[in-house]
Amino acid sequence: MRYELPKKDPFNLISYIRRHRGLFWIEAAGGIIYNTTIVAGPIVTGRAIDAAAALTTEVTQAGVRTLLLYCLLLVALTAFFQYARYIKRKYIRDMCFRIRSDMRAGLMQRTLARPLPELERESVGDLISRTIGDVEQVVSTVETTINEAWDTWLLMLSYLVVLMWYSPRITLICAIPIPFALYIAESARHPLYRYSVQARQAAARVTSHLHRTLNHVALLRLFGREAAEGQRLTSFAEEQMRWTVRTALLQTGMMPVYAALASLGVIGALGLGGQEVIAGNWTVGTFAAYVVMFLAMSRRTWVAARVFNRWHAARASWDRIREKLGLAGKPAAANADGGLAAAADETAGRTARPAGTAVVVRDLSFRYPAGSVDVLRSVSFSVPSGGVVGVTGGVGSGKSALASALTGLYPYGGELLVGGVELRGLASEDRRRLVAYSGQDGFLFSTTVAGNVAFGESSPDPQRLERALHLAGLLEDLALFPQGLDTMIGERGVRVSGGQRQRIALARALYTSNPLLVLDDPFSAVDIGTERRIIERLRDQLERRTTFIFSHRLNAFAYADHIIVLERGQVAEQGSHDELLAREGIYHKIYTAQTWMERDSNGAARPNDPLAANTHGA
Amino acid sequence: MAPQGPMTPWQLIRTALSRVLPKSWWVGPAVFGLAAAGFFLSLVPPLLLRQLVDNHLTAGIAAGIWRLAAFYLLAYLAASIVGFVQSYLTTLIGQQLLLEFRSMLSRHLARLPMAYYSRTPAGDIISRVTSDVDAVSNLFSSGLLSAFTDFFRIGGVLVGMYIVSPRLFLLSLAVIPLIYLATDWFRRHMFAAEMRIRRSVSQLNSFIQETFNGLRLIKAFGYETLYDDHFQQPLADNVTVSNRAAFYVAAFPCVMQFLRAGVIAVVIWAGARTSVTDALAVSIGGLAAMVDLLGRLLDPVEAVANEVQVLQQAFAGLTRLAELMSQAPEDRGPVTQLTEYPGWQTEREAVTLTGVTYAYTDDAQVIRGVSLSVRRGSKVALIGRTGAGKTTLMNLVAGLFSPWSGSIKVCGMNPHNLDPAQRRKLIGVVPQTPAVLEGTVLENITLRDETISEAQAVAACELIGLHDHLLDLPEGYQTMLGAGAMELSHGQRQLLSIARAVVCDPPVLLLDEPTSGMDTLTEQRVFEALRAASEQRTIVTISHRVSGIIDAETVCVLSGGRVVQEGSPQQLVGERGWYAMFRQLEDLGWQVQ
Repeated sequence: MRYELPKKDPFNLISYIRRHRGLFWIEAAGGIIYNTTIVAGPIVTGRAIDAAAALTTEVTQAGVRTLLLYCLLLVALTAFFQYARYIKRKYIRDMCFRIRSDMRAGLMQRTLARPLPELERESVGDLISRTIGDVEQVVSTVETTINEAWDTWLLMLSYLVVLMWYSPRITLICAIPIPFALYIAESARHPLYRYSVQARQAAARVTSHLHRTLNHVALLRLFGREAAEGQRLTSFAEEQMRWTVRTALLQTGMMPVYAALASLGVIGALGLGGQEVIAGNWTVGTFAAYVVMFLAMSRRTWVAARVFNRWHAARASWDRIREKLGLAGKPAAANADGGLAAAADETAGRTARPAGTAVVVRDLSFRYPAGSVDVLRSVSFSVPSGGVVGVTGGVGSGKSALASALTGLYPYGGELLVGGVELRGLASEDRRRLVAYSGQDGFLFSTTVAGNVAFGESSPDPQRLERALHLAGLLEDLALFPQGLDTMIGERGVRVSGGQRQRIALARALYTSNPLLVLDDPFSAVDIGTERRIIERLRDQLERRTTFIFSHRLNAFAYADHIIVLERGQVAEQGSHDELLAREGIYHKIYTAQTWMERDSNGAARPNDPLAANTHGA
Repeated sequence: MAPQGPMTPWQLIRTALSRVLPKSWWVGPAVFGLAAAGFFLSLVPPLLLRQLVDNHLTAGIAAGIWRLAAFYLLAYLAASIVGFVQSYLTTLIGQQLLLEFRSMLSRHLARLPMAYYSRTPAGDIISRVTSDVDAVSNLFSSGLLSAFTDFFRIGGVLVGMYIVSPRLFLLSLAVIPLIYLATDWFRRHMFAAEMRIRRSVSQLNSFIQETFNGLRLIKAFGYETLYDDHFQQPLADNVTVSNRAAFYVAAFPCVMQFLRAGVIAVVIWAGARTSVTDALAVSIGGLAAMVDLLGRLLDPVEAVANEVQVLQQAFAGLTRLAELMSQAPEDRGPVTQLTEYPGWQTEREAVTLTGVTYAYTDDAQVIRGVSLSVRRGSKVALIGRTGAGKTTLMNLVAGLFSPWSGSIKVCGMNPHNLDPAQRRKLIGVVPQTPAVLEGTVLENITLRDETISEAQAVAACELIGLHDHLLDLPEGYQTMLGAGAMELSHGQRQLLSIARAVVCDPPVLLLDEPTSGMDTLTEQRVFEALRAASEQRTIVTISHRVSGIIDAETVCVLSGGRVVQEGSPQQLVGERGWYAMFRQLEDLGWQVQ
């Protein structure tokens, strides 16, 4: 069975239980059987005591047999209702584990379905804490609620019925304190809630104070304030302690007190019950059974008062989950979001498939979902199918914006034609097969090298894999990894260097056969020699694919077929490396300065004339 | 002082207890008294029951029934009071221990070297000080400690059984190995299952974390449904593994109850006169009392076994706390006071570095032999690319680290072992990103240092031209800043940060990229503030941009941890070299990386 949201009304908790109603009914049957037949325990024990009492006057064969029968019955009945209890405990857990998985799968699915520009405004930590912590909180509350519904209310009712059956008079008299105890426990609920809220807030203050102190540890140390902040932490923690002690006292400390209050009637049970025995209406066994059950019932009082307390915390969690479940699947919002007219003409190109990967950009404008100004303005260029395109520019020139636009995941204005087809008009399935992207952060998953490169494929094609690794210059590194391709990377595996990380991410983009490669600053941590080698390979071996490389490091652009220089959101220069150098414009200046600095910090002899350094690139 | 060197969880508890207990000397006797009361109160009611049955019910004597019933009730009420006091004591001691843990950790954190913070993610430290301490706290709130004192009650129950019938007592003892075996079997399996659950939970959590962190990538590759499908596996594993543990958790109390019923059946059978085991026979009241006592015997055992998970988590938490406490603190040597060297106020050389080297790890030197001398009242700028060692050098001057070799003097004093509380009087630092702490404007300037008067803070703000802006805020200097409160603009935050640095009127001011990421207008305002602040002061600015340095008389270019060019800006701009290259790239709007 697949874990997913209930098809009908996923905003209602009952729907989740309904999805697993089989388990629920088994659990319910167990709970009902256990909490009703449990009364047989004290009753049969009482009978056994009576049978033993009968033997004190005279030992008869029949009497011994009766005693033996009751003793065996006690064991057999206990086995029966404890088994029912086991079924209840086992199946309610099973059901709740599944509901937990359903909610998590649902949150994941609904989140992944949301458009990227919208997701980028979410806090990842918050999504994670909702999917893990809040789901846990809600489900464990569901579990205790159902559990206590049986084990408290039904159990008390069962005992009450039997006690009334033994003697309505004694039961009614002895039960008088119980409502009072319940009332007192109930009225403690409000201060208890207040205290626990205070305790939680105090705990949150401790945590956020710690966060702040650790985030600013250098500042506090520079200004000599660490000791003072440490003292404030202690005073916050002291406050947390005070509220926690109060909460605990009211919650667990008062339990025996409520139980004792509710059990005041035990004096009546002993006294009045004792009189019944002397009057000959009750046997000693009945008396013993009555006292045991009376105490068991009244001790449950405090639990009864506690059942719904947990819902305060769980409600907040459930609201947080529902909020995220409600946000899914409004892809149209993505385009409306950027404030750029885009949604209207989308349908026109939806069926068209790009022919080749020649990219024609006309009057392109782009702004980030959260931004208020266009970071690209009337950008136009065209590049033929195949070959390597280098895009460069200074800080804030719009490099990353152009890379984002080329992924087709963000709204843009103007035209961006790939193989003659408007990129934003592509169906998502077609877009998926067209563009491969690799970002500068080189994000990797904690799996094997092969798993990261063949991202999403369970049985990767070895030939394509090797080719991708070769192109990304990783084959040499793999030889050094303990298990080669199957080496785990990330937290539970080997640590990879920043450069290796970026190259594995690059190989992942290369592994797809997608004809349009968008590589946003893929070499910032890769050394220059390797970078040159990779770009050379890309140019020579990816004839059919168009590769966009975004970088502010120009050293390797000598190998690019076409170079675009952006400045303040517009194209400043474009052409081949040699053409741009010959123009002696911005590209030439930057190239010269960078080459000089590189040589100098690598400890090479400083050339007399930095311009002489050009030659090595051509 | 916390003990040095590695610390075991037990040492941690012992140290904390040794500080908590002297504050409440009465706890020891109180616990002992409670234990004795618990012992007594668990054997009295069953014996009263026996007396009631034997002397009154079976004998048919009504007189005295109510007296015994009243005693029974009294014993019951007394037990509840003991329970309450016990719960109060364990909570109090428990919470005091937690408080002690927290303050021990906080003191220890202040003594750790900066290197620890740069290699340890903040989240890791926070989780140790919060959730690991909480895991330990569950130990107290779960009633587990009460369960431990309940073992005294077991003693009472056993004595009660012996009083009723020494022979039946011995017979009942036979069940103890059985209970032990069953409990042990369950405990072992629960533990193993718990380990498997933990693994599966961590797999599940890291899947969730990675997927949400990799959202951009997944969307870019169009793998949404694929990831939904991939998620099914860890989810299913989690359910399977959890269910396997659920068997033990679900079955354990049922098995214990079954064992109890079995023992009761055997005791009733053996305690009755059946001519088979008559040597063991007791009165009916005795039988009823035995049944009652047997019922009480198993409760504490079950309670402890049920909380095995809490116990294990608490111990894991303690281990992680002990790990943090085992981190070696920094040895800053003897702390020096400004008063020990009055010359600091007149010293001609404001900052002197002699052959300073520094490395974060053994294999990579970040600073390789830097010597530098800054005259009092002069303005020096250090420029260099990212990774050239600028910030490290700055932090060395500020005294955050101690150099590996060479020496650093600020106004003739070693900044590293200067009393932290006095550092602000010698060195003012304006870090790269202006930090705003939660609190009022005034608290942000003084950093809650009560020796700084409000007048001093106002003077500092007037000096840099921030005063009037602050008066425009809703509550002036008392306006709350931070998340959910007033948000300042980037420029205002930087001015606040400058006010914080100059409020103690230090002779040396260190500026780390003071205007990076600012628009020209804001940059102008900050420059003005800095010019005002730099009167009569020695200024050391670091920047990766030539335009980020203000009025510097001397510029040093850092590359690869060395000073590669030095001179006045006028002199350097004419030389072909680093400075000129920086100028060129910057004029074109390129980042110098």
